[in-house]
Amino acid sequence: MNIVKSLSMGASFLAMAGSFALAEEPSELGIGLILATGPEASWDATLMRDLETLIESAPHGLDISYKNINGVWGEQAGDAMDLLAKTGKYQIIWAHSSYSDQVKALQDKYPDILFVLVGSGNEGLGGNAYWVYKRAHEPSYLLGVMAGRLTESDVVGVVGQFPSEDVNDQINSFFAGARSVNSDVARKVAFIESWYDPAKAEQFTNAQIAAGADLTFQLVASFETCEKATIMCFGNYVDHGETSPDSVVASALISWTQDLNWVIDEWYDHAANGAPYEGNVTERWVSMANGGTALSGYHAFADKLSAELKDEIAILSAQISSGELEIPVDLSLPTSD
Amino acid sequence: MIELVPRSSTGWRAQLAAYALALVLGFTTSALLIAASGASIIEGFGALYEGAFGSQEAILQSLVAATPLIFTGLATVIAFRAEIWSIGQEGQVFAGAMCGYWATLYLGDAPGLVSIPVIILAAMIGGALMGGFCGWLKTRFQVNEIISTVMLNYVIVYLLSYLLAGGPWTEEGSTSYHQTPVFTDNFHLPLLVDDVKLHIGFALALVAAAICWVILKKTPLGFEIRALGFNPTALRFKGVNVTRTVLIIMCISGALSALAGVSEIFGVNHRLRGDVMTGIGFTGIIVGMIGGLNPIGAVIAALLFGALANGSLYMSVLSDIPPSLVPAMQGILLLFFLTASVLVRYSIKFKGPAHV
Repeated sequence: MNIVKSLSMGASFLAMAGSFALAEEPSELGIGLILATGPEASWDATLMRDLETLIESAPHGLDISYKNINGVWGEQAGDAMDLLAKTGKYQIIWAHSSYSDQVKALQDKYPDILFVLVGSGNEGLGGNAYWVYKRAHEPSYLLGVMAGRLTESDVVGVVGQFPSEDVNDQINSFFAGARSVNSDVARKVAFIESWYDPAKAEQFTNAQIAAGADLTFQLVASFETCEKATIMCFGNYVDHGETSPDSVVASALISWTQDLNWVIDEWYDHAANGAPYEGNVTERWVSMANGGTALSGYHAFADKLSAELKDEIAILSAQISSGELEIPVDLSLPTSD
Repeated sequence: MIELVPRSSTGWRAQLAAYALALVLGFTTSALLIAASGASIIEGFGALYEGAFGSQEAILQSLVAATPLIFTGLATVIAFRAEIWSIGQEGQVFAGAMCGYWATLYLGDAPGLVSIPVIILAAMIGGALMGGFCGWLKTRFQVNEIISTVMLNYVIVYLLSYLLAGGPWTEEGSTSYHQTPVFTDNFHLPLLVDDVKLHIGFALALVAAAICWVILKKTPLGFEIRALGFNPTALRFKGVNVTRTVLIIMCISGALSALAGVSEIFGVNHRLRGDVMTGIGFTGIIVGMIGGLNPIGAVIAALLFGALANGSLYMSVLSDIPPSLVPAMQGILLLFFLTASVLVRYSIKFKGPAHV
């Protein structure tokens, strides 16, 4: 037998062994989370909450564990992803913000790892890089309707993080909702230029209150400031009414459950059946109708809001869910009047 | 009764001993925290060491992390030695990166040999102008430099936000995100070592440190900087134009900070965005202070901070230490270092009770 035959037989044997290995159903899954801030920020906290819940449900019978790396940006985030990949313990690396530059540099180096990019500022990379978007514009519209009805000064504020697409969509929808019921609403918009900075959030909220706002949509979660000033506020991502019942009327909620299930399914199909990764290159988001977002309950404000307002919100909410009312995604830069 | 008496001078041995003690106490306290969390102290510190100095790659990554801090540390040294309390390093980092980017808009396909010096020069001019403006406000209108530099930090951050979020520098295809497109290769700082992104910014930082040392120790300007810190009135009587000296100091400090922006944006991230530069200027102030307001000390402190940053990352990934403990440990070490940097300038005297 010559050496070429030996090598080809060996290669065939290895390929067969490989296909048997691929056919083996994985029982464990490690997920590495790259977080721009950490669990103190609602954006990151919701992901960790939904992942914890998912772990209990054990999709595909998997024993899932995860590790979160907090507060990493730019090159440091790339180094963290590389380190996570090198350990061999993590089959999915979920980069929970705009990290496509770093993932782009790593995705070919680790072809069996499924990378996830989240939100705006990313580039659709395809292959083993999946791109998840979160649009909370629909419940934000409902919050805006409440704000338009409840404001007495007709000045409504929003304090956001950075002006970016998945921040702008919420702010624009909020004001669209407010103006749909109160055309006199004047807008006050401020960005703190940070993803998480409670001190700046307080300063900017106070500035809006000083400028006449009697309601603010808090994308930066400075609810203590609202309480001190005895104004009503709205929250986003998590149900802030649970922790700040004196100031938060309602919140625009998000869920990552479907996104997590989607990428776990994709990874499982790759790991168990050898299916190639086919990461999306365009935005993919789950609507309110499909459970991607929701409006929270009113908590302490349930007794303070009029029945008419609650009915109006319930009707609008049902219309959005049924598709009767379509809330457009407006990504333009929101500005003050 | 215990009394703290300022020392007339502090030798390098005393400083070294103080910082070594700070390191030991900082790690001991951190170890107690790790033990309280139930994680393995050995595993945690092992990962920290591995990330800081454990391999050639780790060492080079630590140098990459240290590079911008050397620049902002030096900027602090130059200003603070003259007792000009500039807090504008943060904004000047942004100004440098922005002016460097602005230059790229006119450089097109110019080769790196041309574009890189132009970018560096444009950035230094931007940083110098921003620092010099605060110096002018101080000398012309007696505006406190702490106020003016802090306020300008905000102004420059929001100017960048305007330019990037829907403004003229917005990435094409994106309606609004705070970043420019990725730079073409001719705008990347050349690498000293491939794969680790150790770029020429590190070499520049060492050269800058050497120049700062020479300026401070061997030149008339250095004498003026030090004398301004000790006694500006005496300096004025000596016939020195103090206004001019303040302006020069602020320009140099601003230009050094600007180089940190160039280093981070053109050496590492290869696109202009605000969030990756946040904190470099403020950390540089701490680096300068811990370095005893000495250029060589600032380099050592920056290297320590770079190693700590990279080691902390390894610790986060490779050990079971709770993620929130890692920044807490960095804070503890910092507190001990800052305490040491102050205490080393004093001697402790024990006095008996006063008898009337």
